[in-house]
Amino acid sequence: MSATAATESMIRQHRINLGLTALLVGLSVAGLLLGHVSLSPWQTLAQLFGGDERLAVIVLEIRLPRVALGLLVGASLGLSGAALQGLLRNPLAEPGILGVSASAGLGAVLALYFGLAQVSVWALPVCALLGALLATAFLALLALRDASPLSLILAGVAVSSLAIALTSLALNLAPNPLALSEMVLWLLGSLRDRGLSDVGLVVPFMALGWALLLSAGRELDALTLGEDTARSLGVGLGWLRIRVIGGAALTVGAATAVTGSIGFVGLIAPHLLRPWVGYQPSRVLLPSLLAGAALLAASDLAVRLIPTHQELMLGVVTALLGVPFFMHLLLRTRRTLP
Amino acid sequence: MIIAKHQLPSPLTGEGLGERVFLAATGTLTLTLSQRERELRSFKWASLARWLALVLALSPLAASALPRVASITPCADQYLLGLADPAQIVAVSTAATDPRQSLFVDEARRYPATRGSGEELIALRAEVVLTDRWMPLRVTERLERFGVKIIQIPLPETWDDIATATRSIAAELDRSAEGEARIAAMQTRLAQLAQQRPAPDTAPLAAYFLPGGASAGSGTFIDTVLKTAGVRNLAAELGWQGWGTFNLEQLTLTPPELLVMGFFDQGGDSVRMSFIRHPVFQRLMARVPVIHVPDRYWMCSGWFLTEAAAYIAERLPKTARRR
Repeated sequence: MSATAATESMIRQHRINLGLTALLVGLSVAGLLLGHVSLSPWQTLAQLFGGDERLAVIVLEIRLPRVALGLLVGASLGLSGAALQGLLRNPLAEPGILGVSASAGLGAVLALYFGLAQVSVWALPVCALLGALLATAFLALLALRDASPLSLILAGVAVSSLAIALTSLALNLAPNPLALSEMVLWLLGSLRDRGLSDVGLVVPFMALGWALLLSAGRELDALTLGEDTARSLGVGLGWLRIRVIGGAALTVGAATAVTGSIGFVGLIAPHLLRPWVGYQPSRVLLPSLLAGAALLAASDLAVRLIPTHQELMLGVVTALLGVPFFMHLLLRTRRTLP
Repeated sequence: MIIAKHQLPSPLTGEGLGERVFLAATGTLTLTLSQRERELRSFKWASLARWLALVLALSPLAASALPRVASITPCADQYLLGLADPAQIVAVSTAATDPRQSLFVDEARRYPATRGSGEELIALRAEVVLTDRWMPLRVTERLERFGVKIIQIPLPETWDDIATATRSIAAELDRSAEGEARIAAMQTRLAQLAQQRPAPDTAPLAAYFLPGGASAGSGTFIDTVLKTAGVRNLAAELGWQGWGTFNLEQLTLTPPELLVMGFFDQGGDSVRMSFIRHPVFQRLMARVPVIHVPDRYWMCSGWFLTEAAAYIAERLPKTARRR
């Protein structure tokens, strides 16, 4: 690659990041101005600055936490997906496939049904995080033993299935007629009615996780050349795996703790970006973070604006919005590549 | 009707009857029996027949020939325990003895509880099975093949519909008089509640909540209960038909003066409760009265809904109670 080509691709990447950031800002503003109540954005603005207290509560206490959480969770999912796809060198990798989401869900459900959640408000998210970290610790042990990416994925699928089975068991045994809908809630996720305290809860874990994941870019690039070459370039494979898996667990575990597991974003965000930013993992990480956030913000906006009596589940909408894009990309890739 | 041998008291039947009956049945005993023993045996047979006749005569089931009925859902339990003759109840559901879900806990303890499977109901020789309209059909289809009659309890939305449903189910149980009595008691209670009701312009605006934030607009039995209790239903005033979900934004824009919570006994703390933990809802709960109606009063729609209405009416803020 010549120097000018490299500069060109740098500029191109900056443009994509800037474009995505602009999109995020637009979606966030729309998220603050549009919502369940039948007021136009202009009316909302006018009344907000006209001193209507109810509008201030709606925008600042109901919509702002929701928008912020949507951005954080979407960004975490997109970033984790990109990093895991790089680490496992598998285009199907995503946080859900390693059992992180399912284990966090199990932790949360156990906290709920054994009454821990009533002891302290922190019990539920902490149990969800513990669940995610426990699953991750198991995977990390496997990763340290120098297992192949494939066996890591298979172990993740096994952990995920076990966590889902145990979640069903807990709900099955709980004397609660609402158990089934609880299960569905955990499987599809929602940003509904989350407050600023939820945002405060996830931020520290996500910040740490993001730092771990974003710092892995160069090493993930080296890994695309094969494990042996990466090792010869000085990449500590075990340490890299622990950082990426741990980072994914921290970010997605925290996300699942407050929103339930939202699928698909982590899988498709990197795929949406690769045609534009190239296939180097380090170049996919940041755009995937931004695209994940944008995808979730857009989905959440759709969930709030589609006039159904019962709000649609966020996971349903991420899939509905994401799948057409994804299929389009797949078809196009098939056409261009032999 | 089968009576197990061990249930027969020994003075009437004689010691060792079971053994002799068995020997007689094998046909080997007659050769070795003495005349006296033969007399004794015929006496015992006569005695047994007389005893059986007595049992049959005393059994209320035999006397009235009411259909043998089992209920398999919490809602059906209420109708069965509230309308049926004790002698015709063969089983209730396991929820019938749960004080959170049943108004007839003590009565329900007297009957076997099933989980509503076909084999249990057939083994108990139920002739009629009471269930809800939204019950999975696989079980009921199989039961019908065994000649069991299935009665599906509807979800009546108004007091008139409740009276109609009660009347028809009572008729199916052959207990029309009991049905009319329940309906009459319901009408009396409704008249009582109508007298205590606040004037429409002072009636507080209430928001009804299920654990997930779901609520009920007009055309639902919840709306019927709220109106009877003397409150205005926010969901209905927002123009809802049927069920839906409140969102915090709407509640902030049109704040209710009263919160009526349903089905929080069993929901407990759950994922669906996130809206309750939200600071905006917490402030609302701190500001306006909150009435938690016990689940058992409105597990489903029936004459007992008057008690749900009365429960709310008794707890209305004092200012709203004058007529």
